[in-house]
Amino acid sequence: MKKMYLLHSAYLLRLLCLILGSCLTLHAQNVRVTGTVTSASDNSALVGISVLVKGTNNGTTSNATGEYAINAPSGGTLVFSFVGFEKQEVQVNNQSVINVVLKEDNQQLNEVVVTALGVKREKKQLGYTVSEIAGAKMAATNELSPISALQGRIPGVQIDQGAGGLMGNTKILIRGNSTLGVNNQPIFVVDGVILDNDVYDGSSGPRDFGNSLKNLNMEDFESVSVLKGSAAAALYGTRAINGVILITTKKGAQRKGLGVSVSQTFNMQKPYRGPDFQNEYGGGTVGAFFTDTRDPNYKPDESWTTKVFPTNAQGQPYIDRQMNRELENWGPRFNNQQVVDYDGKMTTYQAYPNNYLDAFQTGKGSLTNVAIDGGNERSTFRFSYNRVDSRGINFKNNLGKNAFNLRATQNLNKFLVADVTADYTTTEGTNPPSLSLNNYIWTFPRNYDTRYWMQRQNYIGYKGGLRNVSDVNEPNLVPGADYWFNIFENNYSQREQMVRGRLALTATVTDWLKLQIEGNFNNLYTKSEIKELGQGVNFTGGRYALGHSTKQTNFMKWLAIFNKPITKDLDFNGYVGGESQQYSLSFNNAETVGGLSYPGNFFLANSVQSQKSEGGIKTRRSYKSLYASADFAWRDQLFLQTTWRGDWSSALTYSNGSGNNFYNYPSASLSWIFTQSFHSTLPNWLSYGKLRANLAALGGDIEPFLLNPGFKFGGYTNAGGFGDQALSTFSAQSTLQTNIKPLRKIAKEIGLEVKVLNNRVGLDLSVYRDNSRNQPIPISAAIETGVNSILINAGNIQNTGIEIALDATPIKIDAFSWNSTVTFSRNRNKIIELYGDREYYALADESGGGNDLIPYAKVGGAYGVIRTKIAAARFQGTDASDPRNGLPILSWRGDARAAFPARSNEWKDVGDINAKFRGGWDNTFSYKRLSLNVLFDAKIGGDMIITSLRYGTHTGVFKNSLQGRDADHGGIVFQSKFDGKTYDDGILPEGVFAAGQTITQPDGSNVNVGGMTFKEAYDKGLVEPTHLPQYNYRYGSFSTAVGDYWISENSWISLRQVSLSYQIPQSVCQKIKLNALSINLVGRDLLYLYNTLPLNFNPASNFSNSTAVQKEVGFIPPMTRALGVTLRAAL
Amino acid sequence: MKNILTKCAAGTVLATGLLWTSSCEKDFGDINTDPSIVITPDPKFLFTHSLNSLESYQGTEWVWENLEQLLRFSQHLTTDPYELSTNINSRYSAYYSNILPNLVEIRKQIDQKPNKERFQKMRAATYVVGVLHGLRVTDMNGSIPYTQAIKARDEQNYTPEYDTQKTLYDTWLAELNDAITALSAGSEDQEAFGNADIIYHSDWVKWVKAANTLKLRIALRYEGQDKAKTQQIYKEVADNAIGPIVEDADQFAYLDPDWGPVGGDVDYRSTRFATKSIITFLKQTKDPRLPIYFSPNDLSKNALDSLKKYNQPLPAFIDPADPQIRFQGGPADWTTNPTVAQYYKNPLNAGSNKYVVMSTINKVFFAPTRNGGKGTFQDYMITSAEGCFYIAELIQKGYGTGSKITGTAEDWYKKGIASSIRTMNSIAQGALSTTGLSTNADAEIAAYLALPQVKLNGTNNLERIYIQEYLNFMRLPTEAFTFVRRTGYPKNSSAYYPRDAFNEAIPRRYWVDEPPLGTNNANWLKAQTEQGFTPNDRTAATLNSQRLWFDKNNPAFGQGI
Repeated sequence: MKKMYLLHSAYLLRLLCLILGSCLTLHAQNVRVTGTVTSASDNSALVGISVLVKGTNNGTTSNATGEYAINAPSGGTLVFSFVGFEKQEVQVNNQSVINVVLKEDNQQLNEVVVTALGVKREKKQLGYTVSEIAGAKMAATNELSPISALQGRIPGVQIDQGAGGLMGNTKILIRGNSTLGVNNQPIFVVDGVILDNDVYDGSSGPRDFGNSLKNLNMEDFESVSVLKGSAAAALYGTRAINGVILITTKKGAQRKGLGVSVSQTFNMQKPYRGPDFQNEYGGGTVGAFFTDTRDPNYKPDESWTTKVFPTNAQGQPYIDRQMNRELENWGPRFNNQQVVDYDGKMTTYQAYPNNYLDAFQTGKGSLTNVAIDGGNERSTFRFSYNRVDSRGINFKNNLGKNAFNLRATQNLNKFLVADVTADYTTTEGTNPPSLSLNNYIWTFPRNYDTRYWMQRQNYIGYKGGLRNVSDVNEPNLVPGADYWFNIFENNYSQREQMVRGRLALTATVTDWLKLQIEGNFNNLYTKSEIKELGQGVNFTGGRYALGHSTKQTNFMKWLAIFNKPITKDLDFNGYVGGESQQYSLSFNNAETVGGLSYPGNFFLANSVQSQKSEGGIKTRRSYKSLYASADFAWRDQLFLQTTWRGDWSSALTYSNGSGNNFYNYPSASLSWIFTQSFHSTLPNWLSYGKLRANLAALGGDIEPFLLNPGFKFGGYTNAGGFGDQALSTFSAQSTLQTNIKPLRKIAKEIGLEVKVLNNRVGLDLSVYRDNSRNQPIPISAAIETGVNSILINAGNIQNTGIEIALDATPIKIDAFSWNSTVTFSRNRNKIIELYGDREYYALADESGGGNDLIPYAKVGGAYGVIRTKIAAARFQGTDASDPRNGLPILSWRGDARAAFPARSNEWKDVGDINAKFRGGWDNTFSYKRLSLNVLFDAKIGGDMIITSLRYGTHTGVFKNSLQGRDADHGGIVFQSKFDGKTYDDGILPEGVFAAGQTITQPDGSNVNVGGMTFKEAYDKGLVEPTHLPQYNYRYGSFSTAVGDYWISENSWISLRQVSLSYQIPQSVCQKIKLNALSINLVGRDLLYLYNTLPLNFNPASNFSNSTAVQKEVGFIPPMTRALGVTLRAAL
Repeated sequence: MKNILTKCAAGTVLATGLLWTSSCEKDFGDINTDPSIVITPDPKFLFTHSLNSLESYQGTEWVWENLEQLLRFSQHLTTDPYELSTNINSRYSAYYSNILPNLVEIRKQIDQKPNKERFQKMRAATYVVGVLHGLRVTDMNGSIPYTQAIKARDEQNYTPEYDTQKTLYDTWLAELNDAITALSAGSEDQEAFGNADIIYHSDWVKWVKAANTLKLRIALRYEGQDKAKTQQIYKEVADNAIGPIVEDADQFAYLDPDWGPVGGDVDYRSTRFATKSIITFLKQTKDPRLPIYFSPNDLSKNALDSLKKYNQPLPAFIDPADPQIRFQGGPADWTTNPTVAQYYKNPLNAGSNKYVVMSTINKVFFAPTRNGGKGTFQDYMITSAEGCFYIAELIQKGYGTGSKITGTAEDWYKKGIASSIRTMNSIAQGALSTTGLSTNADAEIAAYLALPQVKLNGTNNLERIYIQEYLNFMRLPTEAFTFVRRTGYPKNSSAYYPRDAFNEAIPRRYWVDEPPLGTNNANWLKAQTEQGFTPNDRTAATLNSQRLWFDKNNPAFGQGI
């Protein structure tokens, strides 16, 4: 090895000589060409047009005034291209000024797209699907999340908005879940720098601060390529197994003077609809028996009576405060009665129908962007500054961002070009909403006046801190005051600094060989702080926590690019390269314990007991890779691309250095322009046709450290009288199969692109199938074995799908045009095999199924089958035609005289999160300088778990709790033989009593009603109707709820975006000394045209961007629409 | 020249790439190893973790089982009824996830040591801990894996069979005997846990005593199935040179000045009240434990005056002349006496004042940290009173004495009562709660022992021993519930200590959750059916009628002989 190293040094010296000197003579004479690019339709300057010296990678783009400058061989050819315009080639012929007029073009035949490793390719050559979207289109959405900005635009890309607020995560999934992990989201690659798309799953607390993607600045995006198929992603290695979102940022352009572009956006988010609360009944308990602590001041004979007030010693009715328990809505009907309020004052008893929306505010935001660029024949630069100031719809949820980006290119000499990027972004997010069970579902009744109780004097206790209901002198007994205390007195913040740097050197060695060396790093420094004011008397107690983490990413790459025709008809290009990547995430957290010594002072030393601290390395990983690509083109109609990559991953290495840590993946793709081949024989209406096919393999590793478990420390105990004793146990509750291997994914895809009727209508269709095998996954083990899982290699998970994009220009009359694109995608996920004869693989903690619904992968079914152990038990008689078959079996509580569905305690499938299909419909209407964009998107099928529905059913807060509540709402009026009282809230629960069920009669005797339906027993006079409140209470409670009903199909059609933009005419611009000026109005998430969730629950309520999760856990954000206005000017 | 240079350049780049990819994997093993993890653990730290885990899970157990179910079933207190929820049985996962794995690992680590003979006492102590908690688990669950449990990591056994209760008892007896032998041997050159043993600080004699008391617990559980076996085990203990825990200083206690597992949840969902049966007996005997266990109601002198002023009569069940009027209990099953039960939640009104007439449990005693309290929750997992009462019970039943256990049932009965009162008083002191003893404690205990209602009188000696055993288990709810299942005491319509009427079906066991599908399901199902259980049936009636092995021949609740 040493000898080789010497050899290598010698080579390196020669290489340096080569680069610095010898090659100077290798090149033909270059000339400098400048010019402007304008649009054929309106003569406006075209910005961002790609200008490329044909047959090379030497290129630039036109600036804000449409100017460009480039060095090109005197005999070369310049290629001008941009999405949406016809490509134009112009011979240089020693000209120094070349002005070009580009025609709009919908066929995009010669569109150049950015593909893996940032290599630009003509789209027609590709044997796989790449969808590209212009950066400007992304920026125009005003979204903070680059994922949200993609919504509805690209077939096969599934996007689900989350509930996390301003900076919360949005989920993105490309072509379905390909692994059994819970993060199947694609990675983001910005100019070669890989950013993870981390999952928030609630384990870090109830607040979602968003992952590092929020630090990206869409104003800097030149273009965004979505690499969907594995063939496209094969060169990114393991982490691209779920696809790649490839972002190319803007560069400066050669020009006279400086180009300055400025944009300013103001936007607002307006919450407009919450779920359907009922507004007829206020707070009150379910009854005396079989319930939590009931207010003592109901009358002794009101054990089953709801809809009544308790009365105080003065005989005044008061609103039930339901102290030390959740609050239910079984109180009296609203009738503007005068009652004693929670704070002892008289009030009018009424519903506050908007009390939920009152708990939110109108979000507001300002986005400012300034970019300066310039350049000459040797160098270009572009500097941009981006500032965001936003407040969300949740109180105190703010985001501030300052981003600086500098990109410069420098021709070091005639053959060596440096491309440097420096990016610094700092983001501070504060107070995202808590996504856990919300008080408006669980605690605040419909008579709760948000605007009153959210005032500081109404939630603070009379002695400071939180009002203490067990303090007899506390005048204010309002329930759930901690809700406002937590929002207004506490602060949760996270400050991130992202530093990204990149240096790429490109050496043109000969006309057929280029060498590239690139190094980049991306470091994310996060500081998180929690400041909680004490809730005790005089604000004693409280907490302060301070945490830091550092995520470091380093990347080195070299690449040798070959480009040489083999014969006249056969073109060849290819590359060989290698990479080295390092990732690490270290952290330290500290917090006060037992309260703050000086209340309201937030520093660590202010801890009553010894501070708690933790820290270490959360993860670290290293990859080494080699790759190669060989592309062949035959007569401009048949293109073959082959790639190979090999990865060595540290994460598959055992402590002693052994392990199956190498895996490789080849790919091949073929593109055939059949319209070119059969040009003479095809009918006229067929303008363009291409067939493509590809086959690729991908590999994957596992999370670092998993292969090397041991023993960890886990805190101290102060038991025993001799001070703190350290506790240590196994670092993992799992064990390993020996010899863990990497994952293998095989992906196949074929596609067809056709353009007809003079390119007015185009179709792009892809059909694919992916199989992932041999996944290293933890399968569950019985805890009695000492572990709860075993890491094994197993599984075969398959995704089959179809993606269709249909674009058309239905109308084009003079200056008016209507372009329309319809996208449709359907992905079918199927689990072919798991492990041995296992049928299910849990995608969440399996014990959760004992009282909730959790996702599984199911053999023969899909990733994301929802199961539970608490589905209702169903009657099944011996006779197949028994009418009782399938009815719920009823539980009976004698003390509450209530029947309700019994739990089966056996696993049952109750849903599936996978959508049947997704679609988008994107329309652009243009008339001269005016452009209107209307975007719809839709998701059809796929279930969502709505936890709020369970608890809202329990507390009677929603409209669904009205049926049966009184005679007006269909409740049965009956006189109870037990107490002679008349009730009007009777219902006859559907179901069959279990065999042997006895019911105590008013005379004390017991009668067996086993096997009877409730109705039959009722008809025979053996049972009285069940009080609806008692029924609902059990139907949604923690210990008896049956898990069939709080999962629902989540299909929707959304008017996602309407935007209107207008380019101020050049003549006007010039008068105000501007080169260009445009104004853009955008409305986002305007309304749901269709929503299958019950009670108008917001489809955008996902609490996590885990790809196994379609679930809301207690916080339903109101439906919110966003409006924005943007001014863009170029100086 | 040009071509050569070019080729060199390309070659260089390739070679560089190959070089770094092939040579730099050397550190991959290090990169992939978490620096916060050690490969070879010290048994000391592992042992502390297991001991601490005996206690750390108990917050949920107190809230969801003890206060809501077990002590209500045993009638130590009463509260609104709830069905058993999925939050019960946390003892089960605590055993397999937190307690046993470390114990097994300690043995493995010791066995691998070249000087392993110097670690034999440390090794032996692990079995005592394993049995202590194992009994707690099987007491509610019946057959559980033990002999084949915790073998995934070392033997890749992922399908442990469930041992029957008999196998468990026999296995544990053998383990305890071995442990007693090892722990009783000479201590020369023996390594110790030191203060990492947060219970006994490696006082091996105390560990032997704990092991012997555990043997007594097993002996009594055997009684319903095999009295000869009970006799045999008892004889071993009675003849053992060290014997069981019968002194206060030897009790197995978890004492942590920061510990408070229950807090405000002592009232979770509902307040807990005194039952009529327990309050009546404690009042009759002026038991020093009365104010420790229960809190007085609101009926002070002033309150009674105020009620009189407002012409608010006392409920009929309260005697206005009762000198202990401040302590009132009600029906254990509220539906059996709604007339009295209504006062659990309805106070008496006198003008704007409200007076609660029912006694609640002493919340500070059970939850010292509630409302910012500074007291400590002290957990005596094995008490000396218990050992004394077991001996008294066994002597009373005619199992005799031994070479080391001598004396009469009465001697042990008195010793047990004295110890129980002192220990409960000490727990109350730690909790900063109401105590029951003054500075003249010995005289107060002597006075209590001398009461005719307390003294053994030759007519219902066994019942008297049982009732004291029962009263002592206020803080060991699993033992309390095992006691009422084992003995059928307190007896219905007893003249001495009558059990309250109770119509609700009482589950006599828990269910064992089915393991994750595709794992150990066959063995689970086999164990369930072998025990005669309907798998997944969680209704109270089924859990009442399908009994555990030790419980099979026991009397119904209140039907003790």
